[in-house]
Parts: sequence; structure tokens; C-alpha cells
Amino acid sequence: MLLSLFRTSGHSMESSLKNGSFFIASNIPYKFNSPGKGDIVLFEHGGKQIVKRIFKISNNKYFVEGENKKDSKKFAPIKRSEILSKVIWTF
Amino acid sequence: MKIDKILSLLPHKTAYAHCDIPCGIYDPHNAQMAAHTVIRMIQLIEDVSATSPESPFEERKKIISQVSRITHVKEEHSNILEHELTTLENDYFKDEHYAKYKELKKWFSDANKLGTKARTEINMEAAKELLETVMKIAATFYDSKGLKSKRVKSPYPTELDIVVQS
Repeated sequence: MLLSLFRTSGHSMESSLKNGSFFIASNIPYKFNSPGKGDIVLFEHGGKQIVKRIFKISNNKYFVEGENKKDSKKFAPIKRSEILSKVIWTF
Repeated sequence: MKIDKILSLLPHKTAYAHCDIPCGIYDPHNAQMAAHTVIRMIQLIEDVSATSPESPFEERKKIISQVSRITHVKEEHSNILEHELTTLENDYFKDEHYAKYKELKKWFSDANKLGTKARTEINMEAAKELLETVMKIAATFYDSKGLKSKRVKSPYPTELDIVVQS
């Protein structure tokens, strides 16, 4: 997607993304560059679009987690192809 | 108009930032308790009085301290209420609920505005209207689960109602 508006549901990305807050995501940054450590990205899991931050990259796998340590899931590392877009603007 | 209100009118998708085990445990009771606490704090502020219009400095200092502490609690519970309502609005209630309960979105919007008034002012009318709106949301919550609810006199010193499962 070039640009899409999203609303955050859940608390695991607080304080960057508050529950109910809006942000814009785009796949344009990843047309020219690879996702980097610290990027907040969208990927698909269980039929839903999940938003988390990349905290480690190793062997072409991306390790993602939420920022809110009280409320964050540990996901298995995801592949480059599973990353849909990057959060580029938060409101 | 807050930016979120404008953005909510635009086409958008949901991105999930949920906890590890979406517990599915939601309850409107905490929101109602917080609304009652806001009302109680306003009652306490309104009860504060000076012995005279020209009360001594020492007495005025005590009054300021008292009102400050009460206001702090009012602020705290306004935050709790906002958090509880946001969770119900975005995590519990789904599109099908908003389609079924036509006034639900408006109630959350009203609660947001009334919550701001009750937080920033000593406004009993707004606080009571806020509680009424929260109770409507609570009743809708129970109905959405196929449960019956009822309004009863709360056990709190506010002497106002609360919605409970019947």
C-alpha cells in the first residue's frame, strides 16, 4: 500500500502508539531500503495486521515486539516478505 | 475539533497492538466506579468552606492544600475513566456492535467531551451526565453479551445509581 491510515487497537505499543490513536503507514520506504532496527512495522498474523517495532535483525529474520513490556507479545521472527509497511507518521 | 475526531471520519483500517493473550476480560464496572469517584471529588470540593470571606492566611493554606489533594484524585480517576472507556470502545466493542447499537459511538464521544469538562472544571452537572452516559455504555455492554442488567442504587456516598448484571 502506498499510504494508508490506521487506528491502533491495543496497548502493547504505548507510548509510541496509544490505544485508539491514528497513524499512517506506507510500503514506499521499503521499495528502496530494507526494514531497519527501530522501525515500527505492520505485518500480518492470524488474519490481522499487527503493529510492532523491530528490535533485532539476524540472519535475514526480523525480531519484533511491542514497547509496553507489561502488555506485549513475543512473536516468532518474521521474514522480510511478511513485512507489509512502515509506520511513517503518528498523530 | 480534535484531530482524532477528524481522522475517525476518514477511511481507515485497524492495526492490532494487543497483549500476548487477548484475555477477553472486559468489565464496565471500573469505568462506573471512576465516574462515581469524579462526582464524589466534586462533592468534596464543593463542601470545602472557609470560616469567613477574609479567613486567615493559615486557614486559606489548609483549604488550598485540601482542594489540591482532592483535585489530584479527581484527575487520577478521570484518567482511569478515560482509559477504561478507550479499552471498551476500541478493544471490546466491534463493528457489529456499533452497527447494532446505533447510539453507542455517540455515547463514547459524549463521554469523552463530558470527561474533559468534569476533569477541568468543578462541574457537577457534567460529572453526573458523564455517569449517565457511562451507565448507558455499561448496559449496552451487558446486552452485547446476552446478559440482563439493571440500575441499582450504588453503595457509594455519591448516592447515585450504578448498572450491574442482574
